[in-house]
Amino acid sequence: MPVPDFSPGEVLSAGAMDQVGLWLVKSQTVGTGVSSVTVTGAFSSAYDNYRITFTGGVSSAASTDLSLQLVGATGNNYDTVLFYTTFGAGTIAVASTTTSNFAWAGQGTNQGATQMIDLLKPFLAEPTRYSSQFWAGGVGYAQGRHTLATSYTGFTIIPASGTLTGGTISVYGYKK
Amino acid sequence: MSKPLIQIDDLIREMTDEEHAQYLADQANAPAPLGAENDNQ
Repeated sequence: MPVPDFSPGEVLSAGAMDQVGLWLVKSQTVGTGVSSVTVTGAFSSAYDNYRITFTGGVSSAASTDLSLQLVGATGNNYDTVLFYTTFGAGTIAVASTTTSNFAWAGQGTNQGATQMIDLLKPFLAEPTRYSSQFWAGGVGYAQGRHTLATSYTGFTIIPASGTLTGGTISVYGYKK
Repeated sequence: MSKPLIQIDDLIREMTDEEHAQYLADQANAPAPLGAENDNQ
């Protein structure tokens, strides 16, 4: 029997709840016409690894790349590599950058913004690891690292151009 | 001239001069956008 096995009226035991692998830590509704969105208090000692999603919003730009910056980490210490292909191309291209945020962390369009990011160990005083889906102009997969061994508790989503309106950013913690 | 809006949790306000300078530096330092076309996938 898979655990947890929830059924109507069942008392949820601590043992069953402790088997829940992904827990919602925080949700943030995005406002209107903002050039960046910071989510504070997202990372703590409760979890080592996190999934971040952003859906339901739109960008003022027809299509723009989104990036993610750890709060307080504004230096050029983010190494990111992107593997991607455009639809119909049939070949894989590679791009890499070292900049002041994790690049290629999703896409914003005027029909919808989409992000799905994993951050590994942002709260630990170790280099944070990053992976993200990427859709602009095709599809891709970004991997990266922040090179400083520093603890962080929040992050900022930044569109490369234009502003963001609406939608929800959700932060989930992976059970240790 | 007003500065771009910044959101911190539920608070939305204009960027300070310092935040705006950092924002512009980040924008200038960003890799060339790959999503220039309106593909809306």
